[in-house]
Amino acid sequence: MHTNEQGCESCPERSEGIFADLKPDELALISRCKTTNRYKKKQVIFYEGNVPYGVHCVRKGKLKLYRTSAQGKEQVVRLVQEGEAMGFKSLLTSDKYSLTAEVLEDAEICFLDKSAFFELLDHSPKLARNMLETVCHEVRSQENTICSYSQKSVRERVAETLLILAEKYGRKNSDGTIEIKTPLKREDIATLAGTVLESAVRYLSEFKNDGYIDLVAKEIKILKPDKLLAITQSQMA
Amino acid sequence: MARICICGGRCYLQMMGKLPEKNSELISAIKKHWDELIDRGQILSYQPDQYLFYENHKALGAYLLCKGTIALAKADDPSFKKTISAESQPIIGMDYLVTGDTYDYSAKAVTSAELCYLPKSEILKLLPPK
Repeated sequence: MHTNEQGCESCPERSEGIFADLKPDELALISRCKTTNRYKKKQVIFYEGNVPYGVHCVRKGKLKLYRTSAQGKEQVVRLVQEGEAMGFKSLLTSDKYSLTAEVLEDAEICFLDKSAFFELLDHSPKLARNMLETVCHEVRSQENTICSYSQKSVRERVAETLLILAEKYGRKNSDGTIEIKTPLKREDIATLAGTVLESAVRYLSEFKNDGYIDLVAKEIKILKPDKLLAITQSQMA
Repeated sequence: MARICICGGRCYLQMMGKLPEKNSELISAIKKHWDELIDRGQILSYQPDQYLFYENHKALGAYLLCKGTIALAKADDPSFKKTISAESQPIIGMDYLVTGDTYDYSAKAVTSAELCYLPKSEILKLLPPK
């Protein structure tokens, strides 16, 4: 089902992304040119290897970005949520999409095509600055991931992945516990932690047996976030 | 080659706002417009079972099928199944883009397919002013 087009001016998620703090005429241009669609779980926004044809901005919902190996195995690289934009880096570098974007939970995605995006970029220093900031944050995050892969044990990385999921998707309860309601598969959690399924499942079971987390189907409840944090910092002690 | 839209020309007539008097005019006008669009389009590749677009979505652009086979299907109507091959270089989705209606069907690659993507903004520039 498509959505009634809502102007960008009133979009509550815009403050989180590259379109934050744009001028009214710039927002009007986006509103005029964008197309909003509602995607169901597992539907794909764009495929790895294709040329980019615009920018996709998440108004609602959650997605995963993954790369598929020659053996057909998915490697989840990044999770995307409300307010985040996808595809602008490939557009700027004229590269093909390096990742596939798949919907994890029903989503509303706004699309701005290439010519409208570049027209906007030509007139908006704020947009350019926002994009630079976003890319810098992503580079920092990827540096952390690389360090994590080389310096931390699998156990620490699984704990760290749970905390990242909690930060991104979690809902904090008054008792300090955090519920993560995201339909990520165990395989996705394993690839995010840079390990194989068996190891991820082993450490998830260990954390559950220790009372740090609870697992119900695909839902994860973090009962003791401080304990997980302590595990991730054990090398630093 | 005059590329024919799978809608049978409905979109073109809506774009132009009127039916040219002679068919040859229609074909030559279609060809001119498609060629202009195709010059500005870009080639997208799809593997089998990958989706071009989904039923009930608004069109982001239109597609010229250059290579491979595409299947159209409706979720709530299993009897609706249509397969389109690249032989006649058909245009897919133009009618929905021009009318602003949402797709009545999903389009999925059956084989490896190559399509020229025609952006909505480029197509709308060709519409006559109201």
